[in-house]
Amino acid sequence: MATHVMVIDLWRCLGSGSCYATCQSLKNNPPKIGLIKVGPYETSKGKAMIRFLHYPIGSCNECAYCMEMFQREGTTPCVINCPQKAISILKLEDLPKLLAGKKSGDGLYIQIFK
Amino acid sequence: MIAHVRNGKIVALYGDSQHPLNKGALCAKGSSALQFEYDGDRILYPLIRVGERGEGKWRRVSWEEALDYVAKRLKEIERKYGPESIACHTGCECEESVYLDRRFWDAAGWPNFFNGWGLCYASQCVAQIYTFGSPLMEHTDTSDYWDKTKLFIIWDAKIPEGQPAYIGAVPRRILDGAKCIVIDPQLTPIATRADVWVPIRPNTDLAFALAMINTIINEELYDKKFVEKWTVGFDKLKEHVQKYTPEWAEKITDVPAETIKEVARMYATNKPAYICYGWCCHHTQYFQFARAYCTLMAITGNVEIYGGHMLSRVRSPVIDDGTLTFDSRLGLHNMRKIPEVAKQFPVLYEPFKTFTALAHGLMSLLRQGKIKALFVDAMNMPYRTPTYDKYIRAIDNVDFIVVFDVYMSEVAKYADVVLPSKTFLERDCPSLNLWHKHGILYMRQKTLDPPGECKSNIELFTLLAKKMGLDNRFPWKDEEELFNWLLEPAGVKFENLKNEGYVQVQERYPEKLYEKKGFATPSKKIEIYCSILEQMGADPLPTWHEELLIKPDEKYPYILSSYTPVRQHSWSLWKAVRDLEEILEQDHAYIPEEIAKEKGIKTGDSVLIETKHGTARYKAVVRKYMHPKTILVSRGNFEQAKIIDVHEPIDPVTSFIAERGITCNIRRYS
Repeated sequence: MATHVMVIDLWRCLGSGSCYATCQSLKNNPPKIGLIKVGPYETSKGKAMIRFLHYPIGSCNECAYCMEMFQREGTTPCVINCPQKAISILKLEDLPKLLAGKKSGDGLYIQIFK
Repeated sequence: MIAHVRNGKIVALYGDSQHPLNKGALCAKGSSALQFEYDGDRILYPLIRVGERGEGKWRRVSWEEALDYVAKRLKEIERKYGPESIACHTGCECEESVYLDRRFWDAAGWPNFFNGWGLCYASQCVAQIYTFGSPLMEHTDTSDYWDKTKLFIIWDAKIPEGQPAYIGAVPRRILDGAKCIVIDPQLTPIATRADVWVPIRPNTDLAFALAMINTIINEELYDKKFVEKWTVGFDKLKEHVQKYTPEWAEKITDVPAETIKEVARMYATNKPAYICYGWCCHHTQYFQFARAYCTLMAITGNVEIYGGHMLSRVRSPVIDDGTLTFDSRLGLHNMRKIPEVAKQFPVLYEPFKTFTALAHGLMSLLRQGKIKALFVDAMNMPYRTPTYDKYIRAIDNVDFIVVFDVYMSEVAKYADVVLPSKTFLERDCPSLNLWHKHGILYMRQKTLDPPGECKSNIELFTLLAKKMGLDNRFPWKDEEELFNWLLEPAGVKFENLKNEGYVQVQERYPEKLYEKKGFATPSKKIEIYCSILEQMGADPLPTWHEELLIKPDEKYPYILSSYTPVRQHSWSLWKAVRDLEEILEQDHAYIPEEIAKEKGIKTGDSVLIETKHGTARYKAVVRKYMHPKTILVSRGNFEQAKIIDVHEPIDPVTSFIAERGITCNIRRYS
């Protein structure tokens, strides 16, 4: 049963590749978070945009080390390493609260994190 | 960085959220450090070549035998060909390697010492010194002061995408309300969050900057009090830039005159403002451009104020205010011999006198067969510079090659002796210079025992110095003794630093230090009009040279430029990290829709890009938001090496390779 979610704020994310590299480097069982660059395209505000979309190949709960660290410290290496502090891990029950303050197009990627 | 070690093996590496500088943030390169440690083809033992060059046949030897052989051959070559025939090319000359390569070359009396700065930052650093007397504090070192910055200009720089760990503060400030202008041929991620994106034609940044100066002066937007009291040559500048109107610049830069004026007004009226210039000086007029952006900073008074630009005064060759810098502790400001090749480019060499940042110079000497012994310290030049085939052909002229590296690099395969190096995780790495570390001394502790018989460069040069009879300049019995000697002026012991991780020994730099000390120039003021450059026969004011603009023609109708990949650029040493290669997307060529349509190219097509130097194959990525006549390829890879040459074109002032803004043609490849 999933208890937590990983949330990536795509407005903050600038595609440094840090989370991707972090995942790849933890050799236990690579979580394989993919990173694809989309755009540029026009937004509702009329500005050109590039977004970095994260997509799961498998789920983000495969890495034994991350789970162990999360149990111990409440965080994971990719959350710490992200230069833009765009990643956070929330309790599943807190997700509706977060979403309530957001509008469509705000750019959040949400991944179940068991 | 925190390493979790179990049974002698690192199982995880991640940022240290308690770290005073990066707050835990790591770039993709730092995040790949585990792969760097474990994935590559490590050199484990000293090796002497037994087959033909490049054949890969080696004999494992002891360090004793290897260093005896190296010392014997270097002495023979020096006797036969003289001290200029022995060159060092180092890729890791930094405080963590304690600059011992340079000290060794100086001790031996060999002037030909080359480091990675010839491919990096030196060209603009000297322009800053001629203008301010000291180089500007680097972006990574001023991020603490950006809380006050009202406007950023990100100018041909992959910032913060390029160095996200330290300067991720830029987008955070922008989200908090700071204004942002991005001047770049392509729409970068940060440009999508900017107020203005200027898709400039590559290699015309100087024209843009001169037109900004013209606007700021003619609209009287400059800081009159500051200019009057703290600058030299403003009247001459005013007269000089009258011809550089925004309308004139429009024809060169492909940017509308109104946009240039808007950028100039925004820059001059939002103070403090900060110009994030790029690291790579690869234009034919980059030195002049750097002088121009320094002039912009000066006339708007954005110098030595928090949120604007701070100066690295302790790094100045003129002023050393007594702060601990271990360049001076090691005596690196007084190299005994000037290399002949440096005399051709005195503007580049004179300000520091201590290093030779001349990739062009090294290649010239190699091609002419003047280098008979080459010592390569963690520098895989064919990967780092656009010269692969040419470099390999050139080093065939060298009688004796020694490579000290972590991995069996392309150059190592051609060496006569290969020596195994420790990684940064296998040794204590001090970071001792205070000039850009916010007054913090810190130590990266050894995490692992090295595999095989790997040594640090401190161990290597201390041992080699004994063999060469130079041990009076390398008297330390071990690394701890050396570090304690270096740390002595700060009153810090190595053991304590190692245990603590870091020690704050100096406060923030004060603002407006010039009010107490003046600037470190001959006039004690900012030299907009630089008399030293005039004496050297160079332009005393930033000046546009039309003949240096490379113009498309029938054969090569498009502009080719390089960019540092969106993610942290990968130094040659990190080539072993294959996942990082994947992230860097180095096989991509970004092509504007206009050219793609003309040539029938679609995203995913294989394309051939041709320049006067050769042809290279890329995967096409068609993009909408780019300068319409420019094709962009990633810098620092083997494909790019085929289409660019270190010798032509260059910036004639500094000899820097101009790989941005050259001309090319493109076609589909099937």
